[in-house]
Amino acid sequence: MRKELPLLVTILTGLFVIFGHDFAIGEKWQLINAMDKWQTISQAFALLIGAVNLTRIHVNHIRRRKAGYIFSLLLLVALWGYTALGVVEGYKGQNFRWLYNALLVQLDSTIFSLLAFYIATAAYRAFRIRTVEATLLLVSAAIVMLGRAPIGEAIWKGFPDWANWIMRFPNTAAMRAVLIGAYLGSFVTVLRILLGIERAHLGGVGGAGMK
Amino acid sequence: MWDRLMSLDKRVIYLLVAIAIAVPLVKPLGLPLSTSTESETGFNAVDALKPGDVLWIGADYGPSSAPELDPMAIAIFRQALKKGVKVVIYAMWQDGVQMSKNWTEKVSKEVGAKEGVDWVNLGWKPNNPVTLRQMTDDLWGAAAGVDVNGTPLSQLPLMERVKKLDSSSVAFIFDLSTGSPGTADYLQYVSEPKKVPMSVGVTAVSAPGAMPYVKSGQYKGILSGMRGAAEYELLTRAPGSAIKGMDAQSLGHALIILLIIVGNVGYVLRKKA
Repeated sequence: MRKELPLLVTILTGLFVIFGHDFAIGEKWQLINAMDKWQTISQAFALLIGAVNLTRIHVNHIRRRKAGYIFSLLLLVALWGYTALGVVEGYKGQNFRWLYNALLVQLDSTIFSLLAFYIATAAYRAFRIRTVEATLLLVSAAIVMLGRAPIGEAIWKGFPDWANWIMRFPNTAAMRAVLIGAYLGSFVTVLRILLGIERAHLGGVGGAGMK
Repeated sequence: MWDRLMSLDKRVIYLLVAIAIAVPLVKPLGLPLSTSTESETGFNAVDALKPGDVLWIGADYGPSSAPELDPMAIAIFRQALKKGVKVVIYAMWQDGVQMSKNWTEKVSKEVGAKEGVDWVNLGWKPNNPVTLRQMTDDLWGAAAGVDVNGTPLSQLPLMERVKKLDSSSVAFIFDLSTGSPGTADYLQYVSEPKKVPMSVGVTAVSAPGAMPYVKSGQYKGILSGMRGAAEYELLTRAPGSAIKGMDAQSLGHALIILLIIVGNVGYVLRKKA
């Protein structure tokens, strides 16, 4: 039963969610909506478990004075201090919003901005016309970059049109292929779970879990 | 000589990038900017809404994408309010709450729009996109009956008309997204099954992934990255931070292309030697 019961629950739940909505199964009792609510409640508990677990791990780091324990302390102060401030002040709170705008917004933007520097050095070092494919990639990238910035238009009026053509046709064709592949992969994974072939979610490892 | 050019110190490149981006921000070059069909389609869709129609704006992004998506949000929100279109904002990303609070306060003050009457910010609710799907059946229930400030939806006059996220309540969706959950979820759970037309504003890196849905007509246009935001500002005739950033982007792109050329010329010549 240790193996069969969780499998049965998974199969029945999966089939119900897939077909319940389209065939209005259990509509009278709003079963699909009820299941959505259960999922939301489960997620809230998962968030709490995550926070508690994180706290336990970092409290241990601090107690044992592990290398970098000061960062654990910082994490705990940020996690619980900001939570407490949010609970006391709410979203409208002046200090709550100031901390977010003055710290998180700036830090997040700074880290993302660093990408510009890394992309520039990476492009300079790695973008080489070694093969025909690499040359095609480089030429298309250059056209799109010039076409997406006003300087390209200033150099030659045709750059935006060429950039748009690349985005609309070759890019769309390639992305469609990628998306169809990804969705077929998801479909196969769902089938494997529903047929009980894939059992990693039951606590085992990979497809061989809970043998 | 080419060997030296092929092995430029990365600190020199960092300095060049910093100069290329910072100088035009301080002293704009004023390069001309045209608009693309994709941006015009999105603009025309919002422009075609009638006073009293409800526009749904999805704020599914965080601070890292704010330079690209905030200007879009500001331009769309301002355009809608000025036309008398009512706006409901919802964030599937927690960060979207603070992002949207920043621009709703700024624009509504500027336009003189009233919260609860002309626009409502539902804030963030957990467990998306499941909650988003729930909203198509029972918006009030899925939103736990309150807006971002904790005000009961029953006290907000605009929400009396918006009980479900479907075509009976919402005329158009404009989702501003930087990943998942985001545009694809709106398409899958709201736009297609509930027949609500939608358009999207995405970061430049997300644009290639969204293009197939533009070509299929499922997205009514797309605003792509800072360029898309600048084009929308141009269309709404309200220049903002995106148009200012275009010159910096221009020089940044030109510098990267120049570096690629230098590196490749060095590579070819060294190979020949």
